[in-house]
Amino acid sequence: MQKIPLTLAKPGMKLAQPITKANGMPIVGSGVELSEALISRLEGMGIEKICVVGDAVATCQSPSERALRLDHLFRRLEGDGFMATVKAHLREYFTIRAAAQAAAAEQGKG
Amino acid sequence: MDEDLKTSAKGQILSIRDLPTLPKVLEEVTRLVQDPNTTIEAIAKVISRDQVLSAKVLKMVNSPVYGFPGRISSVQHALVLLGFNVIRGVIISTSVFEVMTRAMEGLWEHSVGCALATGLVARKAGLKDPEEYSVCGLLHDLGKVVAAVQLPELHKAVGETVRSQDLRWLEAEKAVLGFGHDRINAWLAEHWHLPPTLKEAMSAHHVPERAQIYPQHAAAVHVGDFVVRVFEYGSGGDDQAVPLSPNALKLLGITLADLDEVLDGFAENLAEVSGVTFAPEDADTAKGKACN
Repeated sequence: MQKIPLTLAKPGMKLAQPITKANGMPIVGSGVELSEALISRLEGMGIEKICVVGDAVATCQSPSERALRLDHLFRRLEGDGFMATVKAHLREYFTIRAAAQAAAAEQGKG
Repeated sequence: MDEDLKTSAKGQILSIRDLPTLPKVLEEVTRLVQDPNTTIEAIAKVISRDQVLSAKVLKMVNSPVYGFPGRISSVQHALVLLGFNVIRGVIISTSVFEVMTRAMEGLWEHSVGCALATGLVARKAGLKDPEEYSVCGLLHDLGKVVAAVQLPELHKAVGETVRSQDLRWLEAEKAVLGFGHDRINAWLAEHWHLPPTLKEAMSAHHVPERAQIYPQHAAAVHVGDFVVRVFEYGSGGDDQAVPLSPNALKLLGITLADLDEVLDGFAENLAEVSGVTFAPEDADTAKGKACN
């Protein structure tokens, strides 16, 4: 799930959480796919942020991307015992998150 | 570079004439805070007089960096919830935003990301007033901005050294200038009378065990800086991980496994935090405002 400003919303993205007005009144339920019309309606209502499914906005910070970058980032810390542990831990973390995200995307399709 | 040049570089930084000037309001507010009879209302009133500044402050404190997204509606409310130290840091960050984005590409994003990560680390470590830690993260690389403004040529040389010798920014600064932005930070904090927590976090974030009074602040920023670099959000001037100090984790009472939650929180809030900028049109209005 990613919380994004409405300005970055694109048709086709799917809501991960319902959108509510400031007073708590729900406007759109979770799971709804955004359309051009819906986005402009939300703009009109003054909604600023929404939660969408998955890594909808590519920030190059996706877990799979991160796992691949570790070798580059840690290139000058080879041979440092503690940093090797840290790197291994991060690799495991990002690999698990990437797998979870792929599984969630798979489910979203089905 | 010979010794003379190093000394003159230092003098140039310390003769900080062209430093981004902090808004008048800040001076006034700082004076008010020192008066034991001051009320929050009085402080809020002074800040609210500058509407552009108030808008910027509210925008910043309502970002997820501080953990109250979208819920703070007035400067007075912000002061009660976050305290004066945080608001002061936020005011400073808004004042240097423009010069920061101009001076070093990616540094604003790196700073905001570090603020987010540092706050998450502080929360995970169960520290009191995590917002104070966020603001330490926000300002941790201020020295780099000042070096870029005061010593543009040497700043460029540092950047070239980073690329040609594959160094981290701090290492290159030491090679070219003879001292790093951590030293500049300490001086700046002194110059602007920043609270000691902020001063120690800014000056010791690379070596948290060197912090004498507030090692936890320095340690939280140290870990926050590490996290934002792992995500490569923005740039502190180079593309390398910084060595993570095991002592920093020990000081905070957290383990590597605890970092997972910090990383989760960071990834989840990053897109929203990326919207925290003070666009040029804000600056134009600010200029208009300052002329009145």
